[in-house]
Amino acid sequence: MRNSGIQEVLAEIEYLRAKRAQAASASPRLVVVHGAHQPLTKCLAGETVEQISLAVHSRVIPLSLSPIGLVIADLLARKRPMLLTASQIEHLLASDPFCVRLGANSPSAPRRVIRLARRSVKVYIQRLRTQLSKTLKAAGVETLAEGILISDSTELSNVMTYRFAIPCEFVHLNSDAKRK
Amino acid sequence: MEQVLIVDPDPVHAIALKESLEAANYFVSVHRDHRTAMQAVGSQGISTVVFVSSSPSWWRNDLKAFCESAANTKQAMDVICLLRWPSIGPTDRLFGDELNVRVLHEE
Repeated sequence: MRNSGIQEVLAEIEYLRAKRAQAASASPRLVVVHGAHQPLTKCLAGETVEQISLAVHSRVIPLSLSPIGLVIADLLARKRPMLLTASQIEHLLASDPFCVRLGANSPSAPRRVIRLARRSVKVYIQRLRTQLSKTLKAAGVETLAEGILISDSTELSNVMTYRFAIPCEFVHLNSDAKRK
Repeated sequence: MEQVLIVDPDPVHAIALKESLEAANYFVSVHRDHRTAMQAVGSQGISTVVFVSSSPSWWRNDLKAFCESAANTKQAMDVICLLRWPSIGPTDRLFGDELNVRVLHEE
């Protein structure tokens, strides 16, 4: 093996090591993209939830979430830093104006009220954590998904609250912008 | 200590690479094929894999199979692919980019 090849491999390993150290110390943030946005408003009923991503340094990695998963993650992000139980999430999905009128500004967006049982909400929380884990791994961040989407126990042993422990940023696309 | 795994079918080349990395204070393990290497990846704290190939015909399939297996492990690791022939254009590197693998050529 030529010496230049060895040096190149060593240099690359050193670079990757430094990159990992940089990424491991990064604080991720959640980026929520709302579509069908009306000018001069923010996070109002009628908008859509287009995408939710995890941003680490300059990398923005989309979470692979179903439409319902997107709405639950968006709800936790919008209500942050409030602690929400599965029961409150169930209630908000059926009563929060943003959730009830989801996509009303966009003629092409499917409109329906999401009704989920508490048990299903807990399943979606688990799925959301799974996607967060995959994304954190892809970004090389050492933080666990459980440290980003936190479960706290209440005084009732069988009731948990959920919240995002990272900053959440909302990006709005105008209603005349093309849907992705 | 940083752990590096070498996947190299050529034992002589693998030893040369191993000695160089050990001299730079890396803990190195060597496997001759990617299937046995994957078993080691699952059980050790490997941070970097150096995937060496001498086969212009098969390296893409082998690298892709390795990366797919690596994606299923909990351990996040970086993969460097060392091809033992001179570069003849950007296509090899572009293929590596698709898999998030840095492709290097031995000149």
